[in-house]
Amino acid sequence: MRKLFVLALLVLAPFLGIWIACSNFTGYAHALSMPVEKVNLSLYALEESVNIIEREMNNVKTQAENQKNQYEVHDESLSNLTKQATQYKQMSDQIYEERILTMLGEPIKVHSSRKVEIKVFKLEELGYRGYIAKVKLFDPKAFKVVLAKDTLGEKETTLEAVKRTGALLGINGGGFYTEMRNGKPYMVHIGNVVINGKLITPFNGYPGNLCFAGINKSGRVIGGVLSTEKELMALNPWQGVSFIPVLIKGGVSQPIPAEWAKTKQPRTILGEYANGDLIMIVVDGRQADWSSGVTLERLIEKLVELGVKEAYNLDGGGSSTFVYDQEVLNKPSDGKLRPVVTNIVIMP
Amino acid sequence: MSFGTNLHMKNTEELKSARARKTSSSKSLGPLYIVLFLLVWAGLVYGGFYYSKQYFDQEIKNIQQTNAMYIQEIKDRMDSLTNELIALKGDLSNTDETISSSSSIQKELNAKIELLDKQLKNLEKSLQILKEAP
Repeated sequence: MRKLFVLALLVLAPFLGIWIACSNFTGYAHALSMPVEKVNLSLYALEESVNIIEREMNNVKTQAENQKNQYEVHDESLSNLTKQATQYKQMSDQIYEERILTMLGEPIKVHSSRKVEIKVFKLEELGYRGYIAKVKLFDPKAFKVVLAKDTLGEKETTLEAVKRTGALLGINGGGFYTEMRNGKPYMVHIGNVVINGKLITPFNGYPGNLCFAGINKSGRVIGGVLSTEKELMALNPWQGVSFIPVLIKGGVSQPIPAEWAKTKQPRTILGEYANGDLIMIVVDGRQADWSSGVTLERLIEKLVELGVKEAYNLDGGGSSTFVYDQEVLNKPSDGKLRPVVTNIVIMP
Repeated sequence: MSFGTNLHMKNTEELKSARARKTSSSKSLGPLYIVLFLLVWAGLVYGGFYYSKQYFDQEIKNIQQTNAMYIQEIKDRMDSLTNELIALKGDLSNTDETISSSSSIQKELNAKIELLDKQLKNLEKSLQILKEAP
């Protein structure tokens, strides 16, 4: 019996070991399971974060789209406002132009190009006649001061200068005098002459009322009584000549020297309207049956009446010449064209 | 020798003979018992082995299935998150374009404001000129 018991123990011993091993295996086996709880928590947190980001993203997107839409509305409004402002400016400019033209009358000659618009008018007042050119410069280079034959000391008529340069319009320029050099007459311009932005001779600081008149590089009329080269260059001159006196500056009539005020003479004037249009006037004189000339005082009154804001008197008398399309329109007082040192021409 | 003595002697010899027969019989059955025992023991061992193997396999299979389910669930959620992130990337890209576009429009707006300012100044100047017209 005892032997059987021992035998049974020996037989069952391996199974006891297996049973013990198996009884704990379930516990050990669960350790092989993935620790998904922590992963799940992380995933929940991640999903929540993504959802928050998604909501925020949608908010940002909506705000950005709203802002873009607002910008587009503002953009359109601004475009309309700019367009309206431009239209109103054009309307204002047009009204001003019409007012000027009403004062000047019907043009007898009209030229319009990419560079310039020229309208020529007859000037017929009590006791004097002449011609007026209203010039709208689109390209300031269309305005030129030309030295007679492009050479110092030479002289040529305004008609010759117009023909030589191929210009459409021409008037005489600054004052001059003659001196003898080496037994030959030598024409000398008075004051200062600027061509293409440069003084053609060293600055002439002539004392008194001698004034410079011309245009700057923007095509606006400049001038005044300038005592130094620095003052002249500060005006950024492009073209200009010199004579006397200043008639109107900044819309204000200037006092005229007594010796110039009361005398009726042929006149040549360079001026500017408030809108930047140039006005070039030649008044005939010394011809009782045609035009006896005009005093500077009376001329200033006329210029103010026409709305001119800047005006300078150029060389007058027998020099006053108005040429358009290679034809002398006025009647120079000498009965013939006087050769001069400088002319102002407008290229077509 | 008496009868009794003879009987006793006879019995003793029979006993001896029986023992001898028995001993002889036991000796002849011993290896058979051992083989039988070994067969039974081997069968039990195999049975235990088979049971244990089945048990372990089933347990591991259960765990594998559970893990596979967990992995599938996690994979699905990760896929979902990936899709959401892709969608977010698209939204971000669109928003970036919208903001860039807004920035571009804002620059245009600034330029147009400057232009309008310039045009208004021109208009003011033109009106001033008109005011002084003849």
